[in-house]
Amino acid sequence: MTQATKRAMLAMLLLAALFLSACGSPAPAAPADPTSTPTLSEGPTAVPAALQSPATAPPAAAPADGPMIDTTRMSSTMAYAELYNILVNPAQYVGRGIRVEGRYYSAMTSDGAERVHMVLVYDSAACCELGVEFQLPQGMDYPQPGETVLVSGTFRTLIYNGNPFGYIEATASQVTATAPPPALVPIN
Amino acid sequence: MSMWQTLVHYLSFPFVQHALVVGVLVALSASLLGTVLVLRRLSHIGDGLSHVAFGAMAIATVMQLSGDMLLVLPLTMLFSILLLQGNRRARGDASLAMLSVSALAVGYILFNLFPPRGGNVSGDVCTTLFGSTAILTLSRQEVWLSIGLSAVVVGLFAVFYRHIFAFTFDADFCAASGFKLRLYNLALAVVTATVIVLAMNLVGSLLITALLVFPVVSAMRVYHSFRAVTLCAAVFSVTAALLGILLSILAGTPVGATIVAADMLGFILFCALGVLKERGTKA
Repeated sequence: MTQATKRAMLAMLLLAALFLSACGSPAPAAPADPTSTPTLSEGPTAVPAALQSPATAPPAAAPADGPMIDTTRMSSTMAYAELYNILVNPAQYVGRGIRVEGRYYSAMTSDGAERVHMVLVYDSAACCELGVEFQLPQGMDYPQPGETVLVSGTFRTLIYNGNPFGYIEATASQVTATAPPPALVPIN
Repeated sequence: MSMWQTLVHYLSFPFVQHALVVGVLVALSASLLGTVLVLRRLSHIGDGLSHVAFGAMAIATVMQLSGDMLLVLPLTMLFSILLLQGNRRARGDASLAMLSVSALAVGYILFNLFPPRGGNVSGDVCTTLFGSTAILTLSRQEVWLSIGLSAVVVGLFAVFYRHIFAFTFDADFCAASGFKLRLYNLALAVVTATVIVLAMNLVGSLLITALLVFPVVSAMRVYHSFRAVTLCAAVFSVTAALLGILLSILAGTPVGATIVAADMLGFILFCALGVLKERGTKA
């Protein structure tokens, strides 16, 4: 192989590396970052009302092929990664059964019209958290804030700003651990 | 369900398959690069550049760029070229230390002043610094990009192996023999930046040096020729990455830290093998 050929190959390989670096992945246009709790009235921004009303949800899709997604039988690393991928690509999981266990959290939307109910799932180091919205049938009571809850149901999507947004149409929720006591006791 | 059945079940998930493919390729690229960096006493440069990449990622987040690689990779390459090819002052270890901590501090301040959409600053910072689950949450484009860049790095080493050997051990001899030393330094800087940015997804910014150093130093405990050390380091790195990813998904531990722990245990094993080999030689 001549020097000129080697130089040409090196130049081509370096150009290929620089060219490939421009092929960045566009950020998903999902309404909420799946690695964080959703934006609620108690946080920086609120979840729009369109996300809260089941009436805005598209008709239920035919059940998707595939076994139930049971994150309670997975390690924390796998459960977090699986839920992350579900929330980033929700359309692929519509209609599938799902079970998630995590800490219950709720807040009002910014207009005060509705309350959003979430189950928070943490990764192994507990530094990243995912919020998965769930909706119980009418008449069922929601847990107390901070309680660990096991939610079972069907994964559905809402359309917001043209993007699918996932939530669990829950059929059951069960408290598996009560909320921890407050770290500081107020002095009276 | 037995551990084996659980593992087989986990391996059916596409994101686990992607993580294994990307993890193996990144570990392989890092071990090849690490051979050159360790032998040229540039082990610390990986740490410095990874902090620069963190700072660049913070800037990309603030600017809300659609793909942070558009800024992170070129900026890291720029500083890599400056550190490896700049004047004596730029190349000093004090300069590297100042650049490293400054980039880390500025990046963290930017994340706090301009939090990403959703507001999970601690999560984003933790994932970038320690790579807890980043390798398991890659998009399809990121997977292909990582495969492509890793293939380029491995291809460079395969094609230019003899030149890399000469350049690693005696750069002055290379210059005297007519090699374009500046070109090879430039290529090393570009490849270093590329591998650093790829490895951030696997082990995070703070643990990248482990991917560069442990495989080579472990191999040097047992083997003493450049070819043997390079091949052994490559096998070591790939094995540790595979074991680390599989253990972390089974045990629910952070992926990056588990891979580094596997590297550390492998190093201890190779130290023992080296001692046994020396005793066998003396006997």
